[in-house]
Amino acid sequence: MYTKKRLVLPFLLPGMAGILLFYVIPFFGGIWYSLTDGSFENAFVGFQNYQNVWQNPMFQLGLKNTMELSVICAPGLFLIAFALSVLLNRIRPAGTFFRSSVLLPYLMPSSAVLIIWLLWFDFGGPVNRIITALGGSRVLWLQGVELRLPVILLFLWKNLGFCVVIFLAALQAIPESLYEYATLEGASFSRQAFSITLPLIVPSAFLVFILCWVNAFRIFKEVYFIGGAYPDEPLYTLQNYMNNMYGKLNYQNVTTAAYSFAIIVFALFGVLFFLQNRAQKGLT
Amino acid sequence: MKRIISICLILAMICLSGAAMASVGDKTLARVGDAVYSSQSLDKVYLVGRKVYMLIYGSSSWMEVYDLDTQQTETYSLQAMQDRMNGIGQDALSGENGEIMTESVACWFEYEDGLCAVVVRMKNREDSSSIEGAYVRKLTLQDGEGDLTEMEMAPLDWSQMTENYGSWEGSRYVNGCVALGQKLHLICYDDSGNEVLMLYDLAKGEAEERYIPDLSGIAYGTSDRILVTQTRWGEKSFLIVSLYDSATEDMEELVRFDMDEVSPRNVTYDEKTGTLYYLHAGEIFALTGNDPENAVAVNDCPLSGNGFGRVVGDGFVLMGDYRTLLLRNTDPAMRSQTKLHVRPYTWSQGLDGAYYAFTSVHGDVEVVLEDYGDENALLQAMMNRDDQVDVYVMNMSASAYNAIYDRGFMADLSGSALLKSRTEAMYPAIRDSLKKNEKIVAVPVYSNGNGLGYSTKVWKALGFTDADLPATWDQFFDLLETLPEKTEGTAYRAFETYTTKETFRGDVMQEMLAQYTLCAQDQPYNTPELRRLLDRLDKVDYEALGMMTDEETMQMQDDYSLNMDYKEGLFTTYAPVNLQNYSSGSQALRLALQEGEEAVLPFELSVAWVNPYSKYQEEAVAFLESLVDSVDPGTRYTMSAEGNEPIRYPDHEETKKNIEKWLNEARKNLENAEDEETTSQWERVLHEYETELQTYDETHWMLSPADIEGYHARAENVRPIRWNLMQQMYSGDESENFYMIYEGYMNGQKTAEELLSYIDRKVQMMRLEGN
Repeated sequence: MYTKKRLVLPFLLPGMAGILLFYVIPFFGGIWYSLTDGSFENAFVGFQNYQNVWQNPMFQLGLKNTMELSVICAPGLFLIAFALSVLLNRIRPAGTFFRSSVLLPYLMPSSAVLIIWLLWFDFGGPVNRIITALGGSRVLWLQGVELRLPVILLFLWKNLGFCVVIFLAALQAIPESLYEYATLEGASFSRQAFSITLPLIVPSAFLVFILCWVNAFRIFKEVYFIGGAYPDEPLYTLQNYMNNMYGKLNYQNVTTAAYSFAIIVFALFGVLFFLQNRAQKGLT
Repeated sequence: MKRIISICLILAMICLSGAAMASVGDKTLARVGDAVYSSQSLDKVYLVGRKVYMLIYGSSSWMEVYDLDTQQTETYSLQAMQDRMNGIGQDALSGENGEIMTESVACWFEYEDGLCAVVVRMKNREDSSSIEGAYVRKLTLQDGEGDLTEMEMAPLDWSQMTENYGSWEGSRYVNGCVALGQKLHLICYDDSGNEVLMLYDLAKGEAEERYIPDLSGIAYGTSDRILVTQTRWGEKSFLIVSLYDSATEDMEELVRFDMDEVSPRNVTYDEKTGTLYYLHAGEIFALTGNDPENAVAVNDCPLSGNGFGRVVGDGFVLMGDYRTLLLRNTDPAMRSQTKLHVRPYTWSQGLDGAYYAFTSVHGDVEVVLEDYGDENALLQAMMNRDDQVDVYVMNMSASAYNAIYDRGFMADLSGSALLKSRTEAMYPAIRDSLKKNEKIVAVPVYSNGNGLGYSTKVWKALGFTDADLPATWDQFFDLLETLPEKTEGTAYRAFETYTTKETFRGDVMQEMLAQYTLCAQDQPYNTPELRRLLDRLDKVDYEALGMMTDEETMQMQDDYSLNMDYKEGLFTTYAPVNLQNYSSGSQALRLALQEGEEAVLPFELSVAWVNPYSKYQEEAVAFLESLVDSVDPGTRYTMSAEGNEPIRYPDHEETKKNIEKWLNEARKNLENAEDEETTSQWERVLHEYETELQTYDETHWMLSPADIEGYHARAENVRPIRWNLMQQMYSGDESENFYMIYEGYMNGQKTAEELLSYIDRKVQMMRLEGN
């Protein structure tokens, strides 16, 4: 047994070395950066950087906006993706075509998508024409808080396909015989949904939910393309803050903000894992 | 024992003297045009046997001949020859029926045991000119004079080198000329403007055209082949170096350089060792074989421009540009152990001068003047304690500079008595910007700034006095309202002819915003005061002031039938804020944003500092000491009140002598004039020369007494820019958004409030983020 362990080590070593070199060391190196002042003396300042960053109004604004956008985008994306995947799972004629086409926005380059989006939401664009045709007045979609709507829609449209594909895979993996058996046993539709469908897709649904949050946290590319490094305040995200700090060569603040955000994300995902466990136990 | 000690001492002294140069045997053979605006340039360099011929042009021309064996330089004037060829003086060629015969050198080349030239003779008439022939002449040097003497050779067929412009003929420009045996190779261009290799048979004078694709240069290669460089532009650009045999048309490719990675200059080939030498990033590289990766840096070389390279034997090469010729050892083992790397991120007039001043005193230190670096990589280098570069040069308003300054990655220079005394003597705003925590951390190397100013001459001519000068922007706008009346019927305009409404509005607005940035620190831009000032700027009666729009000016330039109102202007938006190396005759206005506030005048300042991780701190500080003495006079005088001595242009005396010479020539011609028409013509010329000579002393200043006095009067108001608002607005991907808002404001589609609130929003966010 001991000999076998020794044999395993050389095989593990290259991979471990890679992880150590490219993940572990930079991770702890980053923590060290966030605890120093980055000056010539490179003094250890403890949690001073964290205090400064957390008190910075732009960090707070970025965090607030990121959270707000995530709270809207992540559940929205999750629910729409689930509904659409159930629908697509039931479509029989041309089902493959619809299931494939839903992935297309995900494959399109963001810059190309953005041009179309900008045209649609332009002051004289199709969206405003529809609004005026319905008797409303035109809206400046590409400025201020109104800009959030095109950004959210763009995010949903772009990420929907990927989530749908995961849901569909989970739905199609449930053996049809389980439903047939349940029907024979006299189980109702809701009983089948809560006792068969949901427990079996919970791991995939949880994965989709996590991905929705992760993508929602990274809602930056769309904002950056429209508003640049300094968009209108309602669109300024945490990524804007970190990106601008990087531009200002303030690596201490970049790493501090990144680790601060990582702590929040870990905490949030911890809660989600806990809820998933509870949900799965309850359902089974 | 004593003998052994003596031998040891002698050996030690020999070793020390060996280390007295960056590399053993290095030498500066020529250095011309060092002064600002000097017209002198090193035009051509040739190697004949062991003698280096250097042709230098300026307001006069001469040849310097350096003997590599005796290490002596002899100077020969070519002025008499030049004058004669230009048709000036008694020996000038005479033409018939009022024709003027002139000659010019098309190219020089090494031939047999001397230096020869192709001389093109022209016949000039009032309404036409023609090429009479092209002849090979030999340079003879005697009694300090150089002249081209005739040779028993067939005239060259110059028909393919002749260009016609209607009834005017001219010789095509020759770019590179090499003679091998009886074959003369030269680069020219054809009717379509493509580079072409012309091949002349010197015995018969016959010409032949050779097309070599992407030909960019030729040089001496081997005894029977020339070195050819081809620049192939494309997605991937290459510089291809080959040996070309013009007799067989064989081309042997030596190496192909990827121009994204290396940009070789001054390429030369050593036939004996098969080594290619070239200049790149401040160093000479030697390459044997055809893989550029194998190139080895063998010596430093601070030359900036494209120029001349030539192997002279004994392991030495000549490297030159339009100002300097250097003899450099190519043995890397002979390089100095102390290598000082200087990396500029911005232009500085004084770096070259500092290099020569420093290396002449610190022969044991090699200085590598690197190419421009990437600003954004600098802080990372500092955080990694990088000691690769010892001295940095950057503009103070660069983000990277401020990051470096804020974090203290700058060595303390206060230990240098010279730098300390210079810094302490500076004007307070400048001095303080060079210090951090009371320690001197940087030295100024270049300054530049322009703003709204007035012509002192026109100001007086319009009846104004110094007491009438506006002190605030409001007073300036008030003054503009009175100007149409003041200038009417005079020989003056309110603004220079080419100052359009758009340029004026843009320049003035940017100046006001730059001032506000310096004064207001963390205050918002969208204030009633700034809006009011921009409103006043918009409401100026531009038409009454005779200011055209950009469109009208372009129409005027296209349509010659429309006359522009050419009059001397009172105001300019381009008056020097600091002292610059030319006398503009205008002084910057000191305008405060509000009554009772101090007027501030922003200007850009570039500085040099020492890397705190440098291994050669002492040498780097010594280099900065040389640098502060080598900066351009304008910058030097801008820094402190100590600079008071007016400075003439470098060629002042020589040019004055030339005017006097032309004056004497005109007097003689006047005396010899035979008819009334010729007499009045020469009288007119004489009058022009006399007037020019009279005003010459008055006007030909690099730094005039009035400029210096005017600057020192406003020096307390000048401030170096640490944060450039416009630069920040145009930075990043949203620069297009700002451009649209700015253009919208300029063409009246956006209001001042919209512009200011856009600036405010971005600036406030930047400020809130912090640095």
